[in-house]
Amino acid sequence: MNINKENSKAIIVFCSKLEISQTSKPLSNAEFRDLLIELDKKNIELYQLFDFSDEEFKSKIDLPIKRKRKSKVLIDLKRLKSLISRKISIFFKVEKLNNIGLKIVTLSDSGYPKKIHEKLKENAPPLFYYTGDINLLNKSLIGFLGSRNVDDNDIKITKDLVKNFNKTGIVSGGAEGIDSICINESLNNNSFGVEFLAGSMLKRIKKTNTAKAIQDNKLLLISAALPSDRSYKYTAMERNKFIYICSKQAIVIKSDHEKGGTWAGAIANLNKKYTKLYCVDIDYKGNQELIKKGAIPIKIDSNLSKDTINKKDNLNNDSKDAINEKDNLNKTEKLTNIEKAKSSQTSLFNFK
Amino acid sequence: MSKKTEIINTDEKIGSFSKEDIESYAQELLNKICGKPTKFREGQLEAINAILTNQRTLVVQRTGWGKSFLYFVACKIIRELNRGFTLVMSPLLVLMDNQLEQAKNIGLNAKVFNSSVSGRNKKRIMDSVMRDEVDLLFITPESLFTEQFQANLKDVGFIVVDEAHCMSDWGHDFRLKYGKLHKIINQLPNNVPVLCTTATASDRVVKDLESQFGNEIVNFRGSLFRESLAIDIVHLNGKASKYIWILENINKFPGTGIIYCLTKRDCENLAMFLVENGISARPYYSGKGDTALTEKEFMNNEIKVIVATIKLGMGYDKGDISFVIHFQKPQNLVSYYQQIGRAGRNINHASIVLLVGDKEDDEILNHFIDNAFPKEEIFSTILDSLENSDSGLKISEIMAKINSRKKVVYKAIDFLCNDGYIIKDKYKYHISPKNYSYPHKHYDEITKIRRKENKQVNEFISTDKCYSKFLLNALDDYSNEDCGKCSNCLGKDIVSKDIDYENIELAQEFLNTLYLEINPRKMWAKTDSTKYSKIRLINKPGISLSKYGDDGFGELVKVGKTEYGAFSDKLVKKTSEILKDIVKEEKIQGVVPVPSLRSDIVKEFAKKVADGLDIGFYDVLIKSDVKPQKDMENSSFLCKNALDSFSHNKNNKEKIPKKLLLIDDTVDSRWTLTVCGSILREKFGVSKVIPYTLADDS
Repeated sequence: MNINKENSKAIIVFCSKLEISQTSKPLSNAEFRDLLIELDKKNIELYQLFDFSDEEFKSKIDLPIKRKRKSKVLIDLKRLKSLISRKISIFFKVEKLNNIGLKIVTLSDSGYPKKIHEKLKENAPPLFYYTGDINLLNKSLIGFLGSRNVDDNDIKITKDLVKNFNKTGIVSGGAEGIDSICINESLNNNSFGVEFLAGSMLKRIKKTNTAKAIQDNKLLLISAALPSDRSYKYTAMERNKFIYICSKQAIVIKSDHEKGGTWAGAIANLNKKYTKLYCVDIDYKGNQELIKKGAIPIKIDSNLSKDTINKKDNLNNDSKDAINEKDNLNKTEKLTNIEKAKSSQTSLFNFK
Repeated sequence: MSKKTEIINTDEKIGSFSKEDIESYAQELLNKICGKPTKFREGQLEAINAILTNQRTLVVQRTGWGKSFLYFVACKIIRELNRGFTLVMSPLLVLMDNQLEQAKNIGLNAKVFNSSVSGRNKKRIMDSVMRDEVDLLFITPESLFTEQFQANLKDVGFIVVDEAHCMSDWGHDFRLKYGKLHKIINQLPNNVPVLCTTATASDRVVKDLESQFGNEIVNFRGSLFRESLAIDIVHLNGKASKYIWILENINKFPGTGIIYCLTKRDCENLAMFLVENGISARPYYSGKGDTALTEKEFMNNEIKVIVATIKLGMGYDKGDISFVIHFQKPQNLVSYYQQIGRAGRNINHASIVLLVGDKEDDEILNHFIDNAFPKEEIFSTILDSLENSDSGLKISEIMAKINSRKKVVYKAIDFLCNDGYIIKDKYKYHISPKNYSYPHKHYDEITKIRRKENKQVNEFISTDKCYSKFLLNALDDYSNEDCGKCSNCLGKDIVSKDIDYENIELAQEFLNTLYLEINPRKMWAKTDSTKYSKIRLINKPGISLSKYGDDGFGELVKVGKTEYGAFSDKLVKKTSEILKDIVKEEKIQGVVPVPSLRSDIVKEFAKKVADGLDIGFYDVLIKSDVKPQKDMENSSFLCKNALDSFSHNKNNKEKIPKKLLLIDDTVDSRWTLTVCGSILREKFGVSKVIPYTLADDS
């Protein structure tokens, strides 16, 4: 979609769950895409629908629009009109969010996360809710993934790894466990972070530390879920995708085997190749299986010399940015040893 | 006569309506409302067309021009086009009744949603909104931002902001909640119609409104001249003479009228004085419980006069108000224009009198200006305290950390919440992710403007030119000639400029008997040594002779305290007079002064009073050297400081009577009296403590 302020407002009217009345169900991502395809064919801008009379709807677009697969829900005149009837009231709620620093970015805004749009194309969510500096997404980010349940060793590994990325940001899923440990560590190191939330944004900002980090432009919270909604399994799955897409590299700290969101997300990433996947090489079934399936293992060993890392890094010539990153690399020496998978010619530290 | 009108090309049809259709439709409704064939006023049709072509429209026209007619018509047509219902934002409740009636007459189903509507009725209204039965919904901004309203809102097709000048904090009557409307309106899709109306907007306010709407607003502005108003100004020194002037002149005005005062206290007292002297008057101000009844009595001409603060202002629609008197100088000429505009709407002549006093008026006005915005310090202390908590604080926790008045803290919290810098979540407040900075420049500029406006009022008072014209010019309306009706145009007085000084005693006497009650505190505040809990042994209700600094005794107390270091015999005499009956009725046997380290002024005064009443004098309380109570700002701090300040000598075996008067010079927070009374009752076994102070300084 083109950048257009009026279309952006229209996306909110048609797609946001901010106001759900009994008659209108906001368009799902797929439905929205179908509507756009139809409008494109007829050369109609989304916002123009607001002024359409019933006759115009009938004569200018082919309604109802059916989903390709057999879906009971249709985009018909009644539903569109019902959604259009929110064109004023919904902005009362938008302003309520705006007032406390929560914003909406739509596919029609220039600030929409570029990588998500590029990778997901028409499957990209029509809008995100966020608070903080959305430009943090344009910086180089390392994805951290892992379970809510962690032991001391996991915490240590996570913190040590994060220390390497003090000029790079961290992106995670904003949940308990690994997610919050890596972000907190990053903020403690005066670096920055992005959290793709599966829900409950309003609850998150109640924490003074979170609010302060956002005020300082160190933290971005972003979510396709309504800020007042709690997280669900499917929103959690969806947001894992965003983490991978927005990461230069992603590291799985710990994953269960064939169950849980971390596993599913990592497998999906290996299939879709959103980003390079690393996995901490610990004696844990899930981790070992991910490595077997192609995740690059990270061996935790503190006895590696500086030379080794630099040499390894030099192997990696496919990145223009590699040289710039030496500064960061040097700091990693004491902490981490990366053992590349035999087949892989890439380096973990191939980030900007 | 519209000064700046850009008529939009409206050749195209609006839905199924052609331009002609709209005109004849509007004509029909106009006739219906007026009850006879009536012509459109200039600009009305154009404004309706602008609305229906989805423009943002601003209409600045005088009261009575027919602004509500615009949205009645537009609402009807938008309804017929099936484009939703009309939401009318208005800062006042009073105007709504009248408009409901008119709306009904032309077949619109109109409802009012505001804080005076009961919970059950609110639900009923929202249900019928959901069922699409309501055409026109009036709402106050305060109710607009409630969850209950927003949760059920849908299908709005047209937004009207009445009294739109309240959206601009450059204006004279900025409302916090109103200031947020433009943010919402700016987010709306461009093609939803919005109408803003006001009768009082200067160029500066119009410009501000235009910029709030991204300069995409069609502007209809007409002459604000009200030909029925005849203005005169009377100079009088002191409250007593103003009281007498009103008493002597009020019955010379036919019909009913309004007296505007700057403070609630003045409304109460003046109304009481008038009632005592046979004039049916009622006080009216925000926070007063029976305003609806007062409005009704006034509407039915059952009372002569309402004595009101500016709360009774915009939109109040009673066609035959024949006089408006200002008890003090107004804050600025725009609000003055608006207030006098209540008069003479459907009658040919109304008398407008401004009573100009001495320095007191300016003191009050300056106080308003200085306290318009919370100070930066209070904002930052609140934010700091919240930032130093894990996830926010309760209000009582905030108060215990900040030495500021409750009212000040609440106001600051209100500002911060409204601007979204802090968030209230059930009982706790926490910071939001928004960066805060104190709007120094903005507040300074507004303060500067307020002072300028103040000066402009003084120029108005001293002008020898037409008062009406001067007023209109102040509102940037230069379209009129002299009114030919005011005292300057006529070259002679419209009302009497003198009073019978024989009568002044009557008012002075009244003002001198405005005792204030001292309500005993019943609960301890939360401090290190006390919990928020019941006080076991409390004082009886007490008396304050005056309001500190007020005309009469209040002034004497102030002079005694600040200049002479002693209270005059007049105060001793009056005090004895008041207390004589109480001593007798309550069987009081002695006087205890509140001790002070700074001076003996209270002790000496209390001794004289004891002598005058012929009862014992017992100086048994001890003051320790802590901070003065006046440096403490809120209950937690005041209570703690008072507890630290007062004690008794444990070796003092003096027997003191069981029933006592506790005397101090002034009372503010009542913590001093509470703590002293509690010591007397607990440590000396006193059974009854009645506090008395010379002045109330709260």
